[in-house]
Amino acid sequence: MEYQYIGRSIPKVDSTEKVNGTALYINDLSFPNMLWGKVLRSIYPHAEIVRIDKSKAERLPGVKTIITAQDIPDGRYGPFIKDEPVLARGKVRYIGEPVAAVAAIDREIAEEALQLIEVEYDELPSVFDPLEAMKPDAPLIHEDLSSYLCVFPAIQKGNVCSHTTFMEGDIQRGFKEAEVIVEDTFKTHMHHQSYMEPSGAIAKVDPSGKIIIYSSTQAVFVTQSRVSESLKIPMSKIRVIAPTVGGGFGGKIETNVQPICAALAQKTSLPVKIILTREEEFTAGRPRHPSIVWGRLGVKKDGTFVAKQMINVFDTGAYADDGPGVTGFGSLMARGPYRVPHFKIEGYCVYTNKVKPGAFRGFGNPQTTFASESLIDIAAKQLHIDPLEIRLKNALIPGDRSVGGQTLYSVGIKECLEKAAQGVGWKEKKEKNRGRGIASINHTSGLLTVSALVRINEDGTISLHVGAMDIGQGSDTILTQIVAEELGVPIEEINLISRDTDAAPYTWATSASRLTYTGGNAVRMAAIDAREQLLDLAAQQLDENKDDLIIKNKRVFVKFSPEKGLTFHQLGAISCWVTGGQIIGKSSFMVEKPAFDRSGFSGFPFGTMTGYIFGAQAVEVEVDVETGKVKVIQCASAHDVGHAIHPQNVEGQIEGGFVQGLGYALSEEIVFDGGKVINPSFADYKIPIAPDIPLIASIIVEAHDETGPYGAKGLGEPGLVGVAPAIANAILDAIGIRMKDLPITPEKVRDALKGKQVTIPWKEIWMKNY
Amino acid sequence: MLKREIQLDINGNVYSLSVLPQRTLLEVLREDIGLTGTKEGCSEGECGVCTVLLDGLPVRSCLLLAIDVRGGKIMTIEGLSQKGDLHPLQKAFIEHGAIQCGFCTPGMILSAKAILDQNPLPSEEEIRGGLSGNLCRCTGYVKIIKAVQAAAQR
Amino acid sequence: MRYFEYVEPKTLDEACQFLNTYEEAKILAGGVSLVVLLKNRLITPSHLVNLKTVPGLNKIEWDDRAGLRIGSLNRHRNIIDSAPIKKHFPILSEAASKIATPSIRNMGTVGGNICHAEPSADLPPALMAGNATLRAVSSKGERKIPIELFFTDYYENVLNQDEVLVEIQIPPFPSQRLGGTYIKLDKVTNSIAIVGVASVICLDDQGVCNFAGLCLGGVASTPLKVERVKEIFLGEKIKETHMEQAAKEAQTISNPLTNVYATAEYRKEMVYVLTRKALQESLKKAQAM
Repeated sequence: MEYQYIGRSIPKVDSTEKVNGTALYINDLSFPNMLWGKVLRSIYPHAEIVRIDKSKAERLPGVKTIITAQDIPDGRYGPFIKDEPVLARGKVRYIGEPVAAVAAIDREIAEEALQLIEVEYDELPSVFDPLEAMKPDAPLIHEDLSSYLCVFPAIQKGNVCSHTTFMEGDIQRGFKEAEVIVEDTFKTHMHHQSYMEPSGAIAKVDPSGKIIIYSSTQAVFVTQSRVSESLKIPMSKIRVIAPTVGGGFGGKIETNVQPICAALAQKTSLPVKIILTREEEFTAGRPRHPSIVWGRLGVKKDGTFVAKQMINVFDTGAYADDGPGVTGFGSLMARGPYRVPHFKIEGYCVYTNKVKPGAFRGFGNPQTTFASESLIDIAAKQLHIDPLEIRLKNALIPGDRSVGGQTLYSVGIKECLEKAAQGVGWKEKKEKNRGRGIASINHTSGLLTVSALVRINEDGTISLHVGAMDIGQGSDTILTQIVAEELGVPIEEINLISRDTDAAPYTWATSASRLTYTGGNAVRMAAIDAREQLLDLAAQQLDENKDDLIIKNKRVFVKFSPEKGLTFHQLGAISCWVTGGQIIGKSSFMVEKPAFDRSGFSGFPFGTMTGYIFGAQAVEVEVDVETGKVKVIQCASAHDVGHAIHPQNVEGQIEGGFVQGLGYALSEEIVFDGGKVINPSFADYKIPIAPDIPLIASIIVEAHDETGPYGAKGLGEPGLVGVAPAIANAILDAIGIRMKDLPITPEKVRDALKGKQVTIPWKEIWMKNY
Repeated sequence: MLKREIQLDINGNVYSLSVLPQRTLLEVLREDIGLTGTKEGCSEGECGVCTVLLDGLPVRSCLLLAIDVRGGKIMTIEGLSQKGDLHPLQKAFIEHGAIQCGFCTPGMILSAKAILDQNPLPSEEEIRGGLSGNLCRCTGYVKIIKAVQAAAQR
Repeated sequence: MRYFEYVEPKTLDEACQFLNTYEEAKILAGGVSLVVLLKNRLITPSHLVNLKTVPGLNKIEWDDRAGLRIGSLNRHRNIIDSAPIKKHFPILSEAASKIATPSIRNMGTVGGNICHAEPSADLPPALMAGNATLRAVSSKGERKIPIELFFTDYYENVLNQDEVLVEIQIPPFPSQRLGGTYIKLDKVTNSIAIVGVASVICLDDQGVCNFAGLCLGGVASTPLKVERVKEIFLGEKIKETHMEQAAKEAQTISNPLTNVYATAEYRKEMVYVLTRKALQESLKKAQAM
């Protein structure tokens, strides 16, 4: 099919303001009489709050108000389990938890006021390791867990706030049939999104009492929801607007300071701004869940997968946040893009007294994929089968089923594997201390809802209202492209209204790689609806048959008498002034089909997920055996996106995801001493820089998905998911050492070369306690 | 607390200001003059989003006291386009998809300008080195490097 | 930052007088270390004395009697580009080119890098390996301090409150066949040294070593000079065994800490690995001259 806009890498609609410095981010905004807010945070990982004395701080000139939990309603929020208060109530559960908040006339005074607030704590025993937290005698972090509102039937016990299981077939039988069984335990770490723009918000109360919140967020409707439920304000009285957002990667879906800002604004009746410091981002943000994964894979001698069992323990810190979702989704993806007749995969989401992780590109999938894809190479080595061949042998093909029995028609995994391997010269000769590794990825891109409105303006230009947010990934551009394609209108004549809960219809978040598939479908349907109405109106006005009309160059005309027609401008004016009323195309798209067969599911917090996407990442590494440093010499990242609506955007996601994955695999780690983050700064938390990145071969594979707009599926997350296991597999190939503990630092490689490796006494702990 | 009278030459315009000694150039640019194109990302000179050019060389405006500029010529991102026309680097960044969230972009482009001003045909290694002080989390740097190479060709 | 007063001395004398009068005053040079400390309120000086308004502190000169004389206010960038340094002591250029990022190299000064006394800093090991002497001036006069006596502990040096480091002197080497290398183990390119090694070797026309300097960064509370390298190398035609011995000595005397970047054990191991590498490279360079 020949498209006018789809498949073309047009200049992004928001580029100009970003290159000339006029794009406005949250910290660039200010209002008259605006106050600065600062948050006082807990210094203990687990403690009762005995007493808070704010009197000295309140007397500091320039301080307008100080609030604690006593000053606001007792509302709790959370995407799955409503366990998180705006300000700590009764006790604190992690170092960094908000305890009080100050609004003052400037930043310095607000900071000084924090020093003057006296808090008396009574320390409680704390627990930092999730396996310890799962023991029956572990300190209980949420005594009232069963009383919290839960949006799904969560299976809970002690510090386990959610237990998800997926089963198919009969693993007892499966492992009996297997001719080789491999098993091992893997550990992953806390990883920070490190978006360049710190989170922040400004809240103000308008004369009618409505709260307006400007927020650096990925999800204006989620912000609205959390402020509503935590401060007990109806949503009709809350408006959330996002300015240009400087990255999120999942860390800005849930709220960071917005409810606090709103509460301060209410108390002072003045605008209040809070911007997190970089230190607060690291100590009190929503990083990636650490995990401990035990896995067991049974295969036949010829490499056919027969049975798989995994237990994924996710450390969700002091509050659940997206933990149940991460646990559930990571476990759902853990079978991998393969046929495995018998499996039992379980996820445990466990509280500990550390900062609460949340959503981060991959959402549990990087953790379980690290284990899964490593296990496959362990098996392949034992069987002397090429790691590429063993994957190709078991890879899904169109007609196969997902976990949960959905039939998959758009399945590009084999092509991804072949092209990724080719991209690093899989079969070529290797030099000493160099190796190649590959990993497969499966992920989804259809989740929950997006709604859209396409209005034909009076002059025939277009207004597109959609709650989907562009945080840099390019959704504004591709959604505009879709409208341009359906209506034949140039990009410049489409006005995109998105980041405003008052001006755009409901959408869940920019997250879950969903905007191309879910958002694209919604926008396309709304545009088509508008187009049909245009044709109806034109048919009526021209007194012609609708089927004889075509649209070209913003004009609707009779196919065989082209002089007989009406321009969009004319039709827009007619609709607004003469007959019919304004043409408004609409679509409320919810991902509902195909549903999962949930007979093998328990405790899974999502409805259905579709838009399966596949990928494969291959790397060649060189290991310096003297220092332990691992360098990626070349890499290829192949992703099945169905159809690339904007190929340059797709490459941008592949490349950005890969480099983030590189940091995850090799250098980044939030380091704790007990419950305290000891490296909360870019000086000590090192993300990849330009001199160190390999040139990534981005490979776009297109296994057309009929259920997606123009065959397209999503891509936001998978670019990161397979990097760590591909590197671990390449290291195994290079020096024969299996790295099981992320990040793979030079020191760990040296230790492994000397025969010293961290082993998790999984069997002992698990058998003893659970 | 004694404010000092200073003059800052920013993008060819001279501003007369009254500042306290501890105000950084970044604060003065953003809050006193209203040029918000230069960003704050970490406040400790590690991330590079506060990069401006001082006499043509990239510096961390979050670590530079405003009173310490003493006559140097400052260029911020707002000063790069001439009479509304985008600079070749800005055009190249757009063409090559080197911008995603845009927060690192002003600092990145100014650092790139400094590279090309010193060496009109830099090697890939020189480009990477010249950009080593500007963190980007979205793009993975690949398209940024390509954009700078393309701008050099112009 | 807490409020401070700010002064701009016109002469070195004036600068010293300010430092004398205001006991809590600090010198503002490049500011890259100082301003971070001010922002974190780790220091709260009453006054900042801007040394950059004193003329004449950023010269770089060489003569065959005194050797290299480097003004303390030279930015790292000047050190990297300087023709006399590249000719007579190129290891210093090499070390300066590995400091942090371009912006920091445009702002930071060699004087600041030395006086901040961060044991992982990149310039002190190179200067120490070259037998540098530091010249400090106060209202009471001036003194010359051999750099190996300058550092006393983490972030501490021997300068008095009213002393200003004005010049670094590197005496001429006994011959032209000079090879120097600075190797740094970093987490990402040019980030703070986990271990830093600077080695300087000079050979006479017969290929016999007539100067040897070896210094480590990041493995003790100050930059660490490996004194015994002179014993091992001087008068010898250096072979692998000599270099191994020196590397082992370096490893033995190093006393690193465990921190968020690396453990003490790993650092000690890397001292050996990097020292051997640095010495091999220095020898090659000297032999090629």
